[in-house]
Amino acid sequence: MNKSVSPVAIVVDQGVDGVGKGVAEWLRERKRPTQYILAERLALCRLEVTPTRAICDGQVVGSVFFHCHTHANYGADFEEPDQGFASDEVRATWLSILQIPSVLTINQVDAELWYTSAEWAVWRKRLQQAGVPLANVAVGDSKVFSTWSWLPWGGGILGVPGCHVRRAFAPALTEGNAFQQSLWCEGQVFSGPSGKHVAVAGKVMASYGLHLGSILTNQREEVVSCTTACTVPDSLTLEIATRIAEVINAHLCRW
Amino acid sequence: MRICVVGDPEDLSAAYLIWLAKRRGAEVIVLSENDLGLNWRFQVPRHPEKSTITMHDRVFSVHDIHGAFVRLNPKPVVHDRLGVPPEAEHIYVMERRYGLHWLLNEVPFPVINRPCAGRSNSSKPYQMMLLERHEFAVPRWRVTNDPKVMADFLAECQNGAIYKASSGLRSRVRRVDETLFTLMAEGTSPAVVQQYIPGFDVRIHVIGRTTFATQIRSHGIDYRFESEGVEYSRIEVPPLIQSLCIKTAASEGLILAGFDFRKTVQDEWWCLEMNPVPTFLPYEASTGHPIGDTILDYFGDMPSPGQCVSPLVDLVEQPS
Repeated sequence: MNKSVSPVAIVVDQGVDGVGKGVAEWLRERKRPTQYILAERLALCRLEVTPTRAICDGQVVGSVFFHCHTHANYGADFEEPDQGFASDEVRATWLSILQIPSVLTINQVDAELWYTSAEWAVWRKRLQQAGVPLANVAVGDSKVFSTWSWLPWGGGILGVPGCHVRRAFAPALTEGNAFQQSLWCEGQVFSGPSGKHVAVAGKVMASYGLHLGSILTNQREEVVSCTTACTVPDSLTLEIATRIAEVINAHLCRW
Repeated sequence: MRICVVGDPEDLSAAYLIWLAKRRGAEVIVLSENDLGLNWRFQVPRHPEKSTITMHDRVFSVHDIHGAFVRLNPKPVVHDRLGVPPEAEHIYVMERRYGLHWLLNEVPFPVINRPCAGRSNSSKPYQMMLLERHEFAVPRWRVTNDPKVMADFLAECQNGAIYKASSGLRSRVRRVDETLFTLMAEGTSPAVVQQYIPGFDVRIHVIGRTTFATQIRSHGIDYRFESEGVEYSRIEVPPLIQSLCIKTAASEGLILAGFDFRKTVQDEWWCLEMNPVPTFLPYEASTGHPIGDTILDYFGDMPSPGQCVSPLVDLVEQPS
């Protein structure tokens, strides 16, 4: 790490909750150089990226809190026909920034997670490998009970669809219809169930470079899905933002 | 022997594999993505070992299928017969695609390639970092949209620099020129700028532990977009490079991969990228490398093609 340069903390935010702003404010109050960037403006930041360093608008990047959906529109400042291309280029570039060893990233994700809209399916495979008890899932034209639920690949939970939809949509269906969400940050559960399985799922997420996420469980506390694209409720915004900002600050202090 | 070809049967590589497999006596089940829910469907129940694929009225256990070759169309079609409202088509296409991904990631037989494999190709800088970690020599690069950074980098590159898209979008590789400087000065998204390596291109196809190398000579910067004067020929590859390609593809979960290199006259091998959905037809047709037959061999015990040269060589008219 280059001790002669004061690194900047970057907060990329979609503005769906107050955590991004909270992190930026906390760091600025402590005189940490901080750039708060709305996701839709990300394409116009002046970047220089190498395998070992990133510079954003003239400042060496020391940490990134990437608090937005990876499929967000990053190119709103471009003409409409170019927005898709600009977004793809920005998405590809920031994925590489998140891998630079000297940059602390929240969350650090790999290409498989970064490029999927069905994050829960990726986590399921990883949790299974780690022995975490998982909710039963059936996919496609499977016969299931009406007490099951449909997990659309793009997110959310719906009732079991009819036979024709099952054939054509190849939906993922999971046992049960009452689920609970746990908000997990830095090894701690801040809301929702916090039993053994949730704790182990959190550890698995942490082992893949995650600091913040949510874990959905069924009544048997089996894990249904995990996601990094979580929205923090107002009641927890300050607490979560402070926790994340402290981690970033500690990293920048060691720079 | 029974195999599936999944996705877009009109894709040239897929169509060729279908022809080749039938020629060797294999049964081919064509699972067109566009026809899911119309002439075929699948079940991956809570016990995935009981998964089945139903084509018309025939039900196949996944244990009775020896392999799948996948080519997904970037713009799949939604048939009117499905009755999906136009405003919901994009959601339907995404849901169907991910359902298909699940099937292909879960089935016990070899899939070339599983959708979860090789995702690094969607980000060129991410993949170049990965290739460096696998000990390939990668030409120096920057990702930037800053004209000053680009000018400084260009000044460091004795033989100039090229630029290309950062994402997996198929884009033409070009020499850094005034157009790019102008674009960057006006404000544009970041692009990969990379040291130009004089020499010629080499494509190495990996299928499991087998490799086929093709040297490509052309007059332009990006031979894929040249219509004339492109020459393909077989080339020997140093064992170390061969071994790195095999190991890297395997570690990324890829059975089939296409590695692109620049080779210098000093016999330096510079790795540019690893493609998880490589076309192989022009290389096979020009050199006779039996790439398609080797893919089929990977699926298991299939009658021998009876020759070690691609049948495409006889089918394609060779330039005099």
